[in-house]
Amino acid sequence: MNLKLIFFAFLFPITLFAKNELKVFTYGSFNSDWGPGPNIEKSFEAVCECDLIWSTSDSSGALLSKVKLTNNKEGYDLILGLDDSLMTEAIDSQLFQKHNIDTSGLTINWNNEYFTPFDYGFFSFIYNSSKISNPPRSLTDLANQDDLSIIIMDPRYSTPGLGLAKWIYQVFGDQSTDYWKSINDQIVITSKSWSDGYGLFLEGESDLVLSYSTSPAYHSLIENDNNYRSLDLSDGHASQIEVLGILNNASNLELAKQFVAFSLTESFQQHIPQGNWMYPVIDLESSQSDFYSAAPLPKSLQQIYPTQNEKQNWIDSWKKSIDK
Amino acid sequence: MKSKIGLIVGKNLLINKLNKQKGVLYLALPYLLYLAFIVSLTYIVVEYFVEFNGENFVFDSFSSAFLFTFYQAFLATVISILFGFIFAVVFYLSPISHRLISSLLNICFVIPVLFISYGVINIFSSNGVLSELASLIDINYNFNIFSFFGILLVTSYFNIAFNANFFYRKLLSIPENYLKLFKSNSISFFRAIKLPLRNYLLSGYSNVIILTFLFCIGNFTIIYLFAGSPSLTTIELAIFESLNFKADIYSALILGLIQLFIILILSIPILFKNTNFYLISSTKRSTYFPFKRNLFIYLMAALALLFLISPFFILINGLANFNLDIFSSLTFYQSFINSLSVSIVSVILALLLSLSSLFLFRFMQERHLFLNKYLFISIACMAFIPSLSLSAIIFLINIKLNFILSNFICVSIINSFFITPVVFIFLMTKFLQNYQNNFKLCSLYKIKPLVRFFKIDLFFIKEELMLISTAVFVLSLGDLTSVTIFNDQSFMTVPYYISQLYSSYRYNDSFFVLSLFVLFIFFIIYLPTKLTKSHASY
Repeated sequence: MNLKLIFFAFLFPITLFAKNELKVFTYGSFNSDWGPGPNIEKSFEAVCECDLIWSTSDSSGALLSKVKLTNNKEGYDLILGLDDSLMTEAIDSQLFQKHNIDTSGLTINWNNEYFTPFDYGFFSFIYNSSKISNPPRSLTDLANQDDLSIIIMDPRYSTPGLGLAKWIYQVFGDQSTDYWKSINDQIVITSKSWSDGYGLFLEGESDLVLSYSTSPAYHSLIENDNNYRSLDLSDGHASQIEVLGILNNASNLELAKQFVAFSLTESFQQHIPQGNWMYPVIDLESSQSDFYSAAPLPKSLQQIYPTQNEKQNWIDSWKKSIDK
Repeated sequence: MKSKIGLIVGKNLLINKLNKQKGVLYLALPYLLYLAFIVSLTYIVVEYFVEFNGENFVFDSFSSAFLFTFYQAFLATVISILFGFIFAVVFYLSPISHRLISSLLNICFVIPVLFISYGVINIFSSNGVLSELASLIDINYNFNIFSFFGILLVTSYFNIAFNANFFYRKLLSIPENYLKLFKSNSISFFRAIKLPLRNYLLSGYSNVIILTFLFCIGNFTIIYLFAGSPSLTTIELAIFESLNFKADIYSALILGLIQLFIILILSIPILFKNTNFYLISSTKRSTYFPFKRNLFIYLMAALALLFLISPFFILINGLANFNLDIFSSLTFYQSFINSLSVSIVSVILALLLSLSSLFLFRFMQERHLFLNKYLFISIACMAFIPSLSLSAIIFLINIKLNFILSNFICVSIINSFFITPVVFIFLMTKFLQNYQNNFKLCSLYKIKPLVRFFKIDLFFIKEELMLISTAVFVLSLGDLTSVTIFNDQSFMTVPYYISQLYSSYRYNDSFFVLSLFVLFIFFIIYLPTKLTKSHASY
C-alpha cells in the first residue's frame, strides 16, 4: 500500500507538468542542423506550450510511402514536405483530413481543403559560371549543346525528378519523348534523390544539375560564392509547391491545426528562405531582400496539379527515351 | 513415404534422447526457438499471399532488374575468378610477407562495403586522386564512376580478394614433399600448376565460384551507391524502392521470394557438401619455396597490392579533414551507440543459436542420427538469404504484429541471420574435434551435457570463439542493407549516418567519420589476438 502511494506521489508531478506532443513527419534535410526545422521548433514551442517532435524520412517521396505502408501506426499528427505532385495520391489514400484553415492572402493561389502550402520554388538547372561562359537560353538550346553534361533525378522516386518530367511535358507536350531522347546522351547520372545529385554536381561530376532557381542563393549568401547560377530559360520554369497535411488519426488534432495555422505566419515563414532555400508563401520581400536579390523569380509556367495518370504519362515518356 | 516415416521416427527418437539427457533441452532451446521462428515466418508469408490473391504483380516491370542482377553478377564473377587467381599467384611468387598478404585478404573480407565504396570514389571520382594526377599531366579525365563500371569495380574488389584468398591459402599449403619434387625435377611453377597441382588447386573451387556469384548478386550497398542510371537496378534495389517509395510490400515480397528461391537453388551444391568450407578453416603452411622470382612478378605483385590497398587511402583524406564539431553532434553519438548495441545483440543472438546448433549437431552425430544433415542445412542456408529479401519479410511480420518490433530489433534479427552461419561453420571443425572419444569419456565418467558444454567445450573453443565473435561483430557493425529500410530519427547506425552525411554533400565530414569508424574496426579486429595470444586465424 505504502509502495503504491510512493509510486503515485512520484508519478503525479510528472503527469501534471507533461506537455502535449505534436509529432511531425518530414524529410531529413528539413530538420537537419542546417535546415529550418530547429528554428521553427523553437518558434512554435514558444507559443504552443508543447513539445514539437520531428521524425524524418530520406526524401519527400518516402514520406507518403511510409505512412501508407504502416497506415500511420507510428501516430504522426502531421506530414510536412509532400509536394503538389503527390497531393492527389495522398488524398486518395484517405489518410488525411480537411484542415479548415483560411489560405487567402498567400502569394500563390491556393484552395486545396486537405493541404496547405508552406513554400514554393521553380525547377531549374544550376551551373558554375566560371566553367560555362555561354549558358543555354532555352530547353532546346540545352539539348543542342551536346558537350554539356547533366545530372537529373529519377522521376519515379524524386520530386525534382518528376518536376523535370512535368516541365518537359508542359513545354513540349506530345513531343516530350523526343526531347528526352535529345538530352539522353548528356545525362551522366540519374540520382535517386536531389541531395545525392546536387552533391555529385558540386564534386564536379557534371556541368549542370537539376535543382531549384533558389539554389544559387545558398552559395551566394552562405558560402559567398557567386559563381553558381541558375539557367534563365525563355520557355519558363515549372514550379513546385511543398505542402503539409493533418493525418486522420492525429492524436492531438487541436495542436496539429494550431501548427498548420502557424505555418502560414511570419514566425514560421521567415525561416524558409534561408533555411529551406525556397520562396515563402507570404509576402516577405522587404524583410528577405537579400534572398530575393540572390534568387530572383524566374519566368513561371502555369501551376498544374497532376492526376495519377498524368504523372504516369510523364514518367512513361521519360522511360521510353531510356529503354534501349 | 519411406523418408517421411524416417523423419517422424528420427524426430521421436531425438525427443526421447533429449528428454533422457538432463540439460540437453536447455542447450537445444535456442535452435528450437529458431525453428519455431522460421515456421511462423513461413506461415505469415503464405497467409499474406492467400489474403492478397487479387493483387497483380507485373513481372515485366521488373524483368530488366532480374536481367541486370544476373548479368552484372556474372561479369563480376568472371572478373573476380580471373583476377583472384592472378593475384594469388603473384602474391605467392612475390617476396611480400605472407602474413601481410593473408591479413590484407582477410581484412578485405570483413571491411565495410561502405568504406571500400567511398575509397573507390576517392580514387576514381571527378575530384578524386586519379583526376588530380591527370590534371597535373594535362590529361582530360572524363570518367564516370557512378556507372556500370563503378558497380563492377567495387563488386569485383571484394570478390577478387575472396577468390585470391582461396587460391593463396591453397598455394601456401602445398605439401613440402611436392615442392621438393618440383625442385629436384626442375619443374617450373607454371608447369606445376598446369599439371600436377591442377586438381589440388581446383578441389572445392566450385563452391567458391557459386559463393562468388551469390555475393555478386547480393551487392545492394554497392548498387545503392553507384547506380547512376535507372537501367542499373538490381532485384534488391527494386525491393528497396518498392518499400521506400511505392508503398508496395506485395511486389517487394514477391521479388524477395523469387530471389531467395533462385539463390537457394544455386546454393544446393554447397549446402549438401558441408565439408568444403575451405576458406574459413585453418590450413598448415609450408615455408619451403623452390620457385624463381623475376621482375615481372614483382611488378604484378606491386600492382595487385596497390589495387587492394588503394581504397584505404581514404583514411588519409578522412583524418586530414578532422572536424571537432562532429564530436558535439548528438546524432554521431546516437548512431555510434546504436551500431554497437545492434552488433552486440546480433552477436549474442548468433552465438546462442550457433552454439546451440553445434551442440545439437554433435549430439546427433554421436548417436548416429541422420537429422544432423538437415540441421546443418537449416543453419547454413541463412548465409544465402539476401538481406533485403529478409528485410521485406520482417517488414511484413512487423505489420502483422502491429509494429511491436522496433527498428533496432528488426535490424538485430536480420544481422544475426547472416552472421550465424559464419560462426557455426567457423567453429564446427574445432567443436567436433575428437567428439567420439570425448563422448565415450563423458559417458564413462557420467559428465552431464550441461557440464560438458560449459566446462569442457567452451573452454576448448574459447580462442576461436573470441576470434569469430569479433569478426562477425565487425561484419554486423559495417552493414548498411537492412538499415536502409529500418531507420528513423532515433535509430540510425554509423554506416547510415555516414551515408546521410555523404548525401547531404558533407563529404569531408562523412570521410572523417568513416575513417574514425574504420580505425575503430581495426582496433576490434586487433583486440582478440592480444587478449588470447591466439594461434587461431580467420
